[in-house]
Amino acid sequence: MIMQQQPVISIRNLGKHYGDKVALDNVNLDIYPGQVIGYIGPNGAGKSTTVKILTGLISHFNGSVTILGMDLREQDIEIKKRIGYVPENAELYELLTPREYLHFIGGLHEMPETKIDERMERMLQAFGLENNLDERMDTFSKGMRQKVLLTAGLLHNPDIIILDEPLSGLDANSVIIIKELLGRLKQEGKTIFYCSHMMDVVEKVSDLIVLIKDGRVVAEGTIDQLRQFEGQSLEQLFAKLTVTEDLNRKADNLARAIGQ
Amino acid sequence: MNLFLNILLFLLQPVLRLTGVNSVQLKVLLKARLLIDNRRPNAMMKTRNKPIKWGNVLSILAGFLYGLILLMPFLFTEADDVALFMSLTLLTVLMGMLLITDFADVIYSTRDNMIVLPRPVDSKTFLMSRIVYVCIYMLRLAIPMLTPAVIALGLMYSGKAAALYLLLGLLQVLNTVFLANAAYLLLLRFVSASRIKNALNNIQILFSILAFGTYYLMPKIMESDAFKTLHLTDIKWLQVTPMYWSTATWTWIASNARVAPLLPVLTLLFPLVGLGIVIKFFAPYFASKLGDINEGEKAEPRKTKKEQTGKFSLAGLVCSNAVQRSFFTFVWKLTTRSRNFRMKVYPTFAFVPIYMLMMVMRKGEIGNFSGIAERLQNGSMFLIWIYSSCLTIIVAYTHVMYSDNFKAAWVYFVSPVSKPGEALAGTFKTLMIKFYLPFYLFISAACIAVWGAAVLQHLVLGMVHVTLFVLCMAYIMHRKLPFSMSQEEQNANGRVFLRSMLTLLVPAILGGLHYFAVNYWWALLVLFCISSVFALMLYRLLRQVTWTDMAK
Repeated sequence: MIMQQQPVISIRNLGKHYGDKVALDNVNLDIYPGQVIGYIGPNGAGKSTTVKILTGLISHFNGSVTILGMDLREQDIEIKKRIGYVPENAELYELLTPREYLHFIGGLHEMPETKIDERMERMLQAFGLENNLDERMDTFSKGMRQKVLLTAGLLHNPDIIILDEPLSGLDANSVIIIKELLGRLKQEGKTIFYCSHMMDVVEKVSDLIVLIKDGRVVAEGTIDQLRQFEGQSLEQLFAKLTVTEDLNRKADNLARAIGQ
Repeated sequence: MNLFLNILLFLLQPVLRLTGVNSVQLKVLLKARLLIDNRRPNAMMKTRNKPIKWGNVLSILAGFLYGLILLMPFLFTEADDVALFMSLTLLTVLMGMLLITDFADVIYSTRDNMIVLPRPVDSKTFLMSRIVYVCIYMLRLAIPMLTPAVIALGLMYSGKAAALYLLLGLLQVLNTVFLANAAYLLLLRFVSASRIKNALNNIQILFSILAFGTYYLMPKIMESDAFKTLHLTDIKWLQVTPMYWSTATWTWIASNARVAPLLPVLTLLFPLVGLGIVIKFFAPYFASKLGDINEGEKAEPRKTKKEQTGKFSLAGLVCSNAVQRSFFTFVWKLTTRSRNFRMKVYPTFAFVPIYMLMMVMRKGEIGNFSGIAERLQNGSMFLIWIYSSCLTIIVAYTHVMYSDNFKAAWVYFVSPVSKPGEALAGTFKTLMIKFYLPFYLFISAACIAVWGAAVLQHLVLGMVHVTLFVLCMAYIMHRKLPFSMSQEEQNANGRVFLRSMLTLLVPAILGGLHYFAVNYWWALLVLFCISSVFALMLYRLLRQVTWTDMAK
């Protein structure tokens, strides 16, 4: 049913290299409205490069990317208006308060001030940060900053949400809230591109899982399809597809190196 | 702040409309940037709750003092137009120096890439926000600098002449910003992303050497007779410079001189047209190139050769224990690889020869090297040369404790080092070998060439004195671990200021003693012995510094 719709994100022969180093090699992907994509892979596989291309942080790449029917190279500003991005590292202006920071972000999206206030207050209240709205963020914990970043990513009610390790630093209760939120957003028809190492969460929230290694897609399908194929948990499947050496032997070697 | 930004945007409206910059987003970007700047910790008072503006008062005073040099042309030449032209040229050089050392990094900062670039902000608006931000700061710095000349012109000519000088000076500051940006953006256009930061860094170093040379040698040139009889119209190419147009405008309004009507028009329009051109031609690839700069850097691995370690390395030869050795190597490598450190310190490599020249040059002697050498042999100018060899190490010591990556210094505090003094000693040895010894050898060669072997005794005593002075700096003033503090903390607090003043007395006393002892070999010997003992004692004290001492 879904497949008959137009893809929201269509990636064709996507490639990116830095000098001789290949970061992405011929990636092809179609993502449909309302889907949650779990984009997983080991460190250095090319996940962040993909995300940075989709969010316009990297503009030089090979192949084509079409988002919401628009070419990323031609209409990047229009696309950015409809994307919400939560980066992996909690990068924000920590000398500002959440209210000031969110007004800044809302301002860049040219949202009315009252709308920004209304949404931010409700969202931060849900995260339990209503009493910290006017405190500078330089004293915030990593989890608190992550909550502000999540709010900043969703403030303008985007159609596509790109999350790069969004649960990093969050406490157990906040993780539950985010998982629930992802479900609700999906119900509302939002498309979610979810990049993470946390296999259990990816397994639970994703409709489609894309496994990437050395810049190439090595597996793609729903969790059930992947299980049928390999008959294992996502974590084991991940290890099987991305590791060429025996992990136990590596751990032994490490322990021996320390002991010497 | 809102009112200020509204007025500013109103004034910029024609350029914004012409270039297609989004004024709503521009205001949001500028407001956030200025708000953040106002909140930077004020190290002067070490508290954020009482933002007493002593730092601002000091910077205004410093600007005022710098500005005194803009007055000099009016004192050295009788032709008003030449004086004004030189004054504006000096202002351009001063502003260029500031732009290159402090503000180029603001324009090309990739720190907020992750925050701003994923938002729907176009490249023009993004670039405009950074240029306008730099302009605001440059104008703020320029006002105290222009003040001495404005007051003097008010007294020498009229209020109208003074006000006009202020306006022309401010326009010249804007011109400098746009010209510097155009040059940098041109570089950004043609150099690959992975090399851009190094290219920028090298150009910054080169430019600051040029600017420094001009700034210090200019007064010597102004003293020459050729300068006093100079006519601006004699040198045709000067007529295409904005300083010439401003000079023409000033003479037209202040002294009713006849000038081509185009020149005042150019003076007024050039800054706005300059801004428009920069935005129109360079903005389209600005944001994308900024994005690529970080990515290119992260992704391309830079390999270095595995080096000799242990007893047979340089660190092994000069350091007595593992902590010293590891800090020696660490500081050696980071002072080579940190762009920020290189930017702040490497230009001073050229300062030593410039100072050497500046100190010995006299009126009418420019270019006459044999005449200079002959005169020098009869004096004790070698003392100034010997002591100026420590210029670079002073600057290196001032900057070695600061880093953008200062948070990584947590590793010092969790390591089982009982006496951080050993780390300070390792740092001291690196800086002495890397930033003092080469200059000392260069100056020794120059001194021996001019004065012969008789100068050797002074060279030896000079080295002991500089070592003693640097140890004083390390022990009293810079008792901080390398690369462990943020750039924002660089504004000295009251105590450090006092310490700096006291420490600066040391070379004055040591140099003074050397000067008085210059003709008595026994006095030189006594000084050598006493200073060597003090240096050894201080070195031992430095090694004994504890964590509690560091906190003082």
